[in-house]
Amino acid sequence: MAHFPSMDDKCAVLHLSRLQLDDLILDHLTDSKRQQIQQLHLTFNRLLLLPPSVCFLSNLEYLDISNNALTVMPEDIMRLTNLKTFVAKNNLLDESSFPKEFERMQVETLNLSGNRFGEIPVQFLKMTTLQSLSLGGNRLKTIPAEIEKLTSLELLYLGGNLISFIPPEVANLTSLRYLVLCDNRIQSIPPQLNKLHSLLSLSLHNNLLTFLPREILSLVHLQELSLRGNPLVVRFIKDMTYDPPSLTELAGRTIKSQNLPFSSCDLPSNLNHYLNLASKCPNPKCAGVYFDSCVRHIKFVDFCGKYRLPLMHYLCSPQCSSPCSSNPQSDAESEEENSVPADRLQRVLLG
Amino acid sequence: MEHTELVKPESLEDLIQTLHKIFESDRVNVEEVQSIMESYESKPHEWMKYAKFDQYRYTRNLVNEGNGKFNLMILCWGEGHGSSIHDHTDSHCFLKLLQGQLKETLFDWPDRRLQGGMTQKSQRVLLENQCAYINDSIGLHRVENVSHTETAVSLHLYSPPFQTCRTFDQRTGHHNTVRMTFWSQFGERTPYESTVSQENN
Repeated sequence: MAHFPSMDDKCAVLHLSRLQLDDLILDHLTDSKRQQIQQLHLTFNRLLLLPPSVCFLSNLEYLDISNNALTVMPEDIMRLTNLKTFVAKNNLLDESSFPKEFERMQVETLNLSGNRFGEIPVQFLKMTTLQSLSLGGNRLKTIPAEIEKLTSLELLYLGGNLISFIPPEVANLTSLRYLVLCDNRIQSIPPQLNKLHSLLSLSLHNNLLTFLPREILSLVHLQELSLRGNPLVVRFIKDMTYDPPSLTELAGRTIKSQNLPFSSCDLPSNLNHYLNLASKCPNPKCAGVYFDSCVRHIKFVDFCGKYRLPLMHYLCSPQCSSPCSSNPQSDAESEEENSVPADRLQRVLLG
Repeated sequence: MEHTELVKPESLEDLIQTLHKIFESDRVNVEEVQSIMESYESKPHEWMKYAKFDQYRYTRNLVNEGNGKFNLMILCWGEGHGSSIHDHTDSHCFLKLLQGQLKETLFDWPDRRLQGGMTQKSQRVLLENQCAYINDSIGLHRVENVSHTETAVSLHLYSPPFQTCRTFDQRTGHHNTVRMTFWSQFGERTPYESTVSQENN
């Protein structure tokens, strides 16, 4: 059904929402009128396809076609070389809906929440101009490591998907201010996330987190942190099934912590490689390292408006207990550990 | 007891004037207020100037100070934004949806004797134009916009007005007192000093 919008001389914004449109024909517009249009709202219509007319609005900067029934985007969309904001929420789009060339678009804001994406399209991961990417309420199972290529990204909204793992590469998005991962199936947060120095808000509610990495304390600019609906532990039961370190590990630890001099030709290459894998024990009073053998240690800390968050890091051994952290509000955790009743300890041993 | 004639407010201004009249008396008829608020049909062009959103959390925007008898404010909720579990400092709280939907989860006051977290009593989704009511004797609640695609806007009336309330940690029942701040007042943005999170959500 064609629709003839009336336009006054200065009109740069065209509002064509909720008009039961199944097509849009703008042939009657002069070239200059067509070039005048900078914003087009076509939400809540009956479009199955992006009307070809739209692709000839060469100065279009903002396009919102949310709440239609689109399954595919035409190649002609590449004609919209000035498009900066593209919103197509609540349609039927998936990872095969976009032309391969879409990666060349200079779009800054892309909002495709409420569609049927099972994975993030490869083309999107090459759009280095992207500042804001929203794929909430889709069917994403993973976040690809290639997400780190989106170096201009300030907002990443992936809430309401099926994500169970956060790749550490997310931490390379150093411009990120707002990271939304709520309503997923995430069991742990990689400690590398503390590299996100610009992060102001982190949304993690309704996931499967039992604790957070202690490194989260270095996100000093964080203003909002949502954690409701996670099974965060209230008590920490010391891990009684600690495997003592192997002889290789004990030797490696001695070499690294005593700074025993050696050169690469002294040792076979596999042992050279092994020695490079040493991790420094985070306990500032401990000069030790560990390789494979370490213990989880949880401390309860008030952080970012939250009461006693369980924060975990690895220590080199059960005897290496951490002194007071940099956060002056944190409780001494030794009370928790010593007060675990004997019958509780037995239950853990028996699994 | 005198009843004000229940005439449907024709506009937000009309609603505000009616509320001023109702609150002239010292006693609040909860059903009457809820009914008046529910019967106002939300018209975005009437409240748009108060609806200022923040990217990272919900905002509170003061609309009217009710001659000191009540505070009327508009809350703007981005996708996924939610509040802490909180009380209402012995005041009446009316919550009407102007746009979108909000999920309200009710909790009982935490019992110090029972170790372990607060479990929800009930949950419901409030639809556009619906008006809910709560006070401290009913319990505590959490309000959230659970949509990943739509924003939500709600109209709140608190009587008498209050500046602080308690927020509760669901895992432990521990509570904090927080000062409530406005993102804007009467349509003008009014920044406040603290940027650190006050909400346990």
